[in-house]
Amino acid sequence: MIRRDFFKRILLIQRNVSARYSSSDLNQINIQKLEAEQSTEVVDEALQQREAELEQKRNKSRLKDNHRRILNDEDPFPEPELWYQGTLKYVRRSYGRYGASSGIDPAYCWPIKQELMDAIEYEQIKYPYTIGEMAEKAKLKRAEKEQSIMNRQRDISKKLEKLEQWKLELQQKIIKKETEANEAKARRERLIEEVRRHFGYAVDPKDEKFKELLEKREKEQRKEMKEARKKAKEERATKKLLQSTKTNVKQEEPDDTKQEKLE
Amino acid sequence: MLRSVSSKLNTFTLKRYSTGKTLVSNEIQAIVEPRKLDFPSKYQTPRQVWLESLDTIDERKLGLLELHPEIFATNPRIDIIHQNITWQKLYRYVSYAHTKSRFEVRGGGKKPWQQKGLGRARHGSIRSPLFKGGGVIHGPKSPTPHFYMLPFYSRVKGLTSALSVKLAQDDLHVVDSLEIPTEESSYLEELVKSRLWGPSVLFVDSTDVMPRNITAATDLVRHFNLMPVYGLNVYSMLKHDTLVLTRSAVDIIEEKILYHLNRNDTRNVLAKYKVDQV
Amino acid sequence: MSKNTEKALNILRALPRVCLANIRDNPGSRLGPKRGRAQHGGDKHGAGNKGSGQRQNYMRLGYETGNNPFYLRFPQENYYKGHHLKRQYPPLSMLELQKLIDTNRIDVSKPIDLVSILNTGLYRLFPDQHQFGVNLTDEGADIFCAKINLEVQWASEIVIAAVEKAGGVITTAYYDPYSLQAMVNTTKFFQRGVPIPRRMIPPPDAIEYYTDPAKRGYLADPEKVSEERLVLAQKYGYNLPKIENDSEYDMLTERKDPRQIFYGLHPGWVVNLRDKIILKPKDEELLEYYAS
Repeated sequence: MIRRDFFKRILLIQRNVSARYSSSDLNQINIQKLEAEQSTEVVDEALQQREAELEQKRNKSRLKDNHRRILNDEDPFPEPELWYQGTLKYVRRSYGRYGASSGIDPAYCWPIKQELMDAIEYEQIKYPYTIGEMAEKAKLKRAEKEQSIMNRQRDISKKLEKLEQWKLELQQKIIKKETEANEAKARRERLIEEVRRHFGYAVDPKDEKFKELLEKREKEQRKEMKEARKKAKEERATKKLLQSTKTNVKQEEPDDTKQEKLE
Repeated sequence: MLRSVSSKLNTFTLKRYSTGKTLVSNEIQAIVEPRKLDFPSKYQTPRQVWLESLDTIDERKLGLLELHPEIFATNPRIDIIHQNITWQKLYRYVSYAHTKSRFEVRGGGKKPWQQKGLGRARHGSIRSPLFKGGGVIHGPKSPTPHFYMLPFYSRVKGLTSALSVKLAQDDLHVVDSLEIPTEESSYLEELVKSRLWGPSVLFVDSTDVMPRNITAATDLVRHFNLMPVYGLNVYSMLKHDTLVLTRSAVDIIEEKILYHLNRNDTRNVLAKYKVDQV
Repeated sequence: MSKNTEKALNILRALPRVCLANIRDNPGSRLGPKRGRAQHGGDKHGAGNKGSGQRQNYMRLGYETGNNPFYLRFPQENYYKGHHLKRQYPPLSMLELQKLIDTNRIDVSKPIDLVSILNTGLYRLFPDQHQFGVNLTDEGADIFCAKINLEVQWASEIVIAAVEKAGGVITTAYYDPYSLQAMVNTTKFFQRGVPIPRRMIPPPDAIEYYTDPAKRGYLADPEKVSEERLVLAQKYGYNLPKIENDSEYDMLTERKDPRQIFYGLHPGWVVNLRDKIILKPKDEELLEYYAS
């Protein structure tokens, strides 16, 4: 194709040259001039096409336009093609990366009114207290914690004082229990001995008759004990009265009433 | 002048110029300022190369340039070059071979005959791999990508090795620019022939828009290729017999490779390659 | 140039041109794919005999064939409740800091803060993993001898004493995760085209630490801080150097505003690395917001 064009051009040039130096016949010249004009138009178109192709071929990058721009540290999409290229985030990022050459007004970098309001609201909720308030609160909290620990320590120390006493009481209780149990046991043994003596040593203590007598004897024993307790009570009461009469010699009337009651 | 210069030059760079012709001092005119390295190596002497021109068919030496030895005189690691070439071929290769497994072969859903009683082997489907016409077990599955990233410094070493090989085998030439006087491909062919530059030539320039004439000249000649400096790769360097760099391309190559050889923040570069992150 | 390289390059001059057809990998560097056939690798192909292993019907992960498995044996323990939500301060020892200073990775003539430690590349921080800054540990406190204006996020008494003994100044400061993200990768942050944010105040459980003069908190009273300096000097038995008479007094007393993230840059400014300019807002509302 190139060769064809080349030869064509040579022929046309020759033709033009010959036309210039031909005879001064007007018709001839006119026709030849017309021919030359026509042919130059055709030549121009083909040439232009060839030039355009060559210009395209001069780019040996084999890259897409946007990739080539990225390689040269330029904004890959100077005109937005996709929806996200109109978002604030993208616009700010373009400015951040490519500066003034991106053609973006730097005013977009700062938050818009809505964003500002959102940010302030968010901060108010997330950080409701000032540093001073928080510090005081922390102090109070720490003091409270220490206070509660001190209180508990105090309680414990108070209780510890009574510890020895509680120990003694407990020991006494145990001893009392033991003695009572021993006494009851001894009483029961005695009764059994008595009954045995009554029946004779050959009889089994588990026999019915034995048991009946044992019960009788137990009952009698209990009655005796009760009477003994009653007597002890009465003795204590009389003792008390005597004491009170001795002390309250002046007040005779209440003493009389008391005596009347007893009797 | 040549004699005095020759004594300072390394013998192996001078050999290629001993074509039997004795160059007279008048012929060498230092038209261009000699290129000095910004960051010379502490341990090696720089390599030297003639700065030539594509203006005339006969070669014309414009001056002497220094090349950084860490890039143009490293150990020529043929195995790393091989790894780079394999990587270049494979990382974008997708195998479209496909075989049908037993589930993809048509038919074979029904049990062909009852389990017991017939005296025949037991089978569940006629398309099992045991059968003629049955599915393939571990056959290729389309599409299978063979993408992998060669470690960053293997790739850097590949580039430096290839450049060193080219320079050592006299296949590297540095030219002031890629401007030629005509857009005829015959001009280039004659030029390459006279200078014994080898049948195929790779012209590398710093920009990706090449001059008009050389684009036209190399358009239909498939063994002369133009490439921007960022497209320089091991495969192309080995495929073409001669490598012709412009002076500006040499500057860019040295700057970039020296940066990567001496940087102290290689963490990002050594990390696992992530397709969606820069 | 090493002898081998020289030799190799000289040999290449005599050999044919290196091209795609005459290169190969080093012999023995690549192992071919192993097929499982015959005795080794073959026969049962590593699946054993019968059972769930060979029949590809495996037991669930963690199952121990009936006995109480390890992952179910131990009940929850209260002492580690919420451990994954607590603030973390990855440690940096005083020894490491001294090494960084000695190897010229940190410039001592300027105040040292988290950004300068991160810029060395040898200390990494991940704010998205609940990491809130540098915890300076006391390993190497006895040999620390650099006079610096240091700002960390957590420091113990010994560390503070060591820094002050060397004639330096130490402060503990809090950075919220958004600010930390800006500090960890500053270039990336500026490329977002977003104004520098205000640093947020510490959360309630950290406020005590950062208002405590004994910990040199950035919110503490400076007079009390100087008192504490004396106290520490007496406790550990060293003479407290007078920084007022020091030639670098200005550098040592340089402090950040509680809302400031970077030295020399204020909240609300937009830094553009491409054009190398700093833009400041003019709108009143914005100025009010960023000054609050």
